[in-house]
Parts: sequence; C-alpha cells; structure tokens
Amino acid sequence: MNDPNDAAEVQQQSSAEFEREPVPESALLGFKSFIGMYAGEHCAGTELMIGPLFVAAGVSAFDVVGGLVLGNLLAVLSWVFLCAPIATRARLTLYYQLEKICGRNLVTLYNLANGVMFCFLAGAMITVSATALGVWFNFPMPELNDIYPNSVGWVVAVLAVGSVIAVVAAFGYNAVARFANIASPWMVLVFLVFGIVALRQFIVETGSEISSAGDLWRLADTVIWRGGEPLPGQIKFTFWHVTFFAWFCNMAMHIGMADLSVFRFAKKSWYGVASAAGMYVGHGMAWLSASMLFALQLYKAGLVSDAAVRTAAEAGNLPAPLPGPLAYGAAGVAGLVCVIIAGWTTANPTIYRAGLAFQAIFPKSSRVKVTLITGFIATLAGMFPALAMKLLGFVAIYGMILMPMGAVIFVDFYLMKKLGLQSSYASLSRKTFNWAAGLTWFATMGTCVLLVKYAGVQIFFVSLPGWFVAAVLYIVLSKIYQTKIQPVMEGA
Amino acid sequence: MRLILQLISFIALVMTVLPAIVYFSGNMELDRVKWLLILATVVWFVVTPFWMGKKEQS
Repeated sequence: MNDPNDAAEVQQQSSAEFEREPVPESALLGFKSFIGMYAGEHCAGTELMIGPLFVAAGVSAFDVVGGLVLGNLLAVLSWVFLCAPIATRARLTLYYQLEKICGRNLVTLYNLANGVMFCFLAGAMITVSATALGVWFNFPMPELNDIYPNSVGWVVAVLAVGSVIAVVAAFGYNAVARFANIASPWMVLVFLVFGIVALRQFIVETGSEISSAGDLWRLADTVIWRGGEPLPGQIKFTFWHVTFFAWFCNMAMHIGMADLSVFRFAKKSWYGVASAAGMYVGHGMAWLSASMLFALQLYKAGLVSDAAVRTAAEAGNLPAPLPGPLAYGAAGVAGLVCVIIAGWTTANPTIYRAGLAFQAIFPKSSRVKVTLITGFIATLAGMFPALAMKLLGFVAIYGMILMPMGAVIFVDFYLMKKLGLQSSYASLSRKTFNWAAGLTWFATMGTCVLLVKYAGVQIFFVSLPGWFVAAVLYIVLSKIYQTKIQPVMEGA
Repeated sequence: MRLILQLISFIALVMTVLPAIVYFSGNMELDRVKWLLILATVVWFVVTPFWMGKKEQS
C-alpha cells in the first residue's frame, strides 16, 4: 500500500516553501513521494467524463488502447526529458523562474490565464459531482449536446455542490487535502471495479464466451469500442487523436513546465518517470473503465450501429455520458460516493490554486475572499454542461494557452547563452514585462488559432507545431529586443 | 495498534475489488457486490484516518 504521507509532503512543500530561492539539498524528496502524488492527482473526477467522451467520439479498440499506451508514454517522456531536468538543475518554482525571464507584470498576466483555466476545470469537476445528486433527487440532467443548464434542479444541484466545495477550499483546504490522500487508493480501486463490472456485463449481455485474450480483444473491438461514426455533435477520434490527447491533456504541467514547482524537490531528474503512475492508472485504466460504462449504456439502449445511433439522435433519445448514473449502475451507492469524492477532492485544490493565481494579481485581497469568489465563478461555469460535454476540446485549449511559456523556459534554460543572448533577461535588465516573451506568447496563440481556423489543423494537434513556433519566435524576438535594451548587470 | 489498523485498511481495500473479481468470474450477484463495496468503503474511511497521514511513533 502506498503511504500518501509522501504525496502530501510534495504537495505541501511545493506550495508553501522556498518560493523565491532554490530548494536546498536537505529538503529534497525520494522517488516514492512522487509516485504517490502523481497516482492520486491524476485519478480525478474528470476521468469519469473523458473516458465516456472517447466512446462518444467513436474510438475503436486499437485506437483507444494503442493511443493511450503511446500518448501516456510521450507524456511521461515529456516530464522526464523536458520538465524534470530543468527543475532539478534550477530548483525554482515555475512562477519564480518565469518572473526572472518574463518580469513580474507578464507573470501576473500568466497567472490570470492560469487562474481562469483552473476555474473552468474546477467547474467541470463540480459538474461531475453534481451528476451524482441527479441519481438521488431525480431531476432532469443535461444531454450530450446541451450548452445551457436545462432544469432548475440541475442549477440547484451545481450551486449546492459548488458552494460546499468553495467554502471548504477557502476555510478547510488542508483537511480536504488530507481527506483526498486517504480517499486516493480506494478511489483508484473503485475505478477498477467500474471496468471489471462493465466488462462482465458486456460478456453477459452479448453472450460471449471468453476463453482467451483473443476472445476478449474481439469483444472489445466489435462491441465495446466498435469505432464507426462519432455521436452527433462530436468529433471523430482516431489513434492519433487519442495519442495526442493523452500526451497533451497535461501539457501545461510537463511541456508547459508547471511541474517545475513539483520536481524541484526531486533528487534526480529521472524521478520524472513517477508520472507514469498517474498516466497509466488515471489516464489509462480509469479512462478505459469509465469509457466501458458509457459503451455499456449505449449497448443496452440498442445503439449498436451507426444507423441506430442516427435514429436515436433524430428521436432525441441519445443517452448522455453522465458519471453519476453510470457509476451508480456499476457500483451502487459506493460508485456515487466515488463520483462525488473524485469531483470534490480534485476541484478543491483546483479552486485553491486558481485563488492563489488571482491573489497574486490582487495581493491586498484576503485569500479566503479570493478563493470564495473563485469558487463562485467555477460554480457558475459548472452550471453550463457544455464545459463538461466538450471537455476534450477544453483540455486541449488549456494546454495550448499555457504551452508557449514552457517553450520560453526551455529556450531560456538551454539555448540563450549558446546563442549569445542573456537568459533570465527580465531579472538582469530589471524589466517588469519582457516583450520578447510576451509577444512570443501572444503570437504563438494567434498562430495556433489561425492554424485551427484556416489551415484545418484540429485543436488536439496544434500545440505540437505551436511549441516550435514559440521556441523560434522567442529566439528571434530576443535577438531584436535584447540588442535594443541592454541588461543592467547585477552588482554593476 | 497502528499495524492492526493498517491491516484492517488493507483488508478493506482488498474487499473493495475482490467482490467485483468474483462477480466477473460469474460466482456472485451484482447486488451483493454493491453491498460489499459499501461495507468496504465505510471500513476504509473509518479506519484509515487513524493511521494515514500521522507520523509513526518512535
């Protein structure tokens, strides 16, 4: 059994200590600490939404299984080779490292973007928890393509869940963080139970005889993830969609360098492989289990062909991927408890982090007040089901927005001095806004939007060329900007 | 005492997943799986806070 004391240690230290100095040797943590943290953090409420959305996107068995194996591997490698080496050499938080490169005002802008994204993410987690209340109170719940709240019951449920989460995040963050650590091993196993129960029900429903791995694969390929057209209103997911989604869904953390704040406590950069615990448990097993629950719901509704799906859609009878009812069907009350806890324990730190990001912009406001307001915004966002139902696209946008700053840090750390330029330029020139970094950020986002709008590149893929655009732009703009403004050498 | 509590927590975790495995093999009804799951959940959340996150006494 993994003792999450270590996970708590990483989380606590990464948020509270050595904010403006390198982590000293005496505060470094062992490999086990990072395994616990990643396994817990990436088995969240949103996994219950993402898995079913893969099915809604019409994935085939090979696409989803192969795509997750490759995509999660690429994510782990991004932590190991991009984020952790810089973290273990500089040993600074993301924010302090960015401040040295970009200046305080640009970091404030980054904080704003980060805080807004966290708010929406927390909103999706509140949505997930609220679907559990729908099972108990039986109010009309959102449909797959709903954008706006569709019933008073839904609004009240989201308001109730969101208010509790916001108040707890503001006043009892540490208690919930401890509760989240306790819930984590149990939650992982309940996700596994979802998958086992769903698989058994598929075998019973289809009357399949499973006596070999080949039989199991045939069931997976022809019934569970049968491919074909996506559900109406959804984008078709192929092997490459799943691969890039799994790779980039935590892009802000690895390529975007947010986890510099975590891995600055690692003794060695290879500790980045600990992220595999989160990827293959949360973004592998949990996604597959959750997707099987929704696939089973479609199968039981007789939606076993594209024609049947079209007919059901035209009649308005298409089932929605709602985590509450799905979990209740597979695991009863414990499943509902899992949905609520999964949403709550992950929304709690997300609202807290968003609050911290906003507080950096308004330093004179109290943390409690800012967290409450942040929680209220997240709750409002959670009332709109489009946020959860379009979660795949939102997560891709989230990564795309924060990715350029990761490229800036990478270039600053490895390339600037080799190219005869200054690294940590804002710190040396005492600028509060490094325009080379700022323009790189804005222009990269603009380029990505143009690529999506006019070049037919889907949002799930655009961050890959976007990273190279950001890296080249930062070098070119720094060449121009740094020659115009001479650095003020410290101690000169 | 800590060791006993850890053992109970471990059994609760096993009981979280074991009924589902027995159900998968076709030897248990789903309703019974759900009840055992609730029981294991209650035991886990009642017992585990007494040792997890608390420093071991020297």
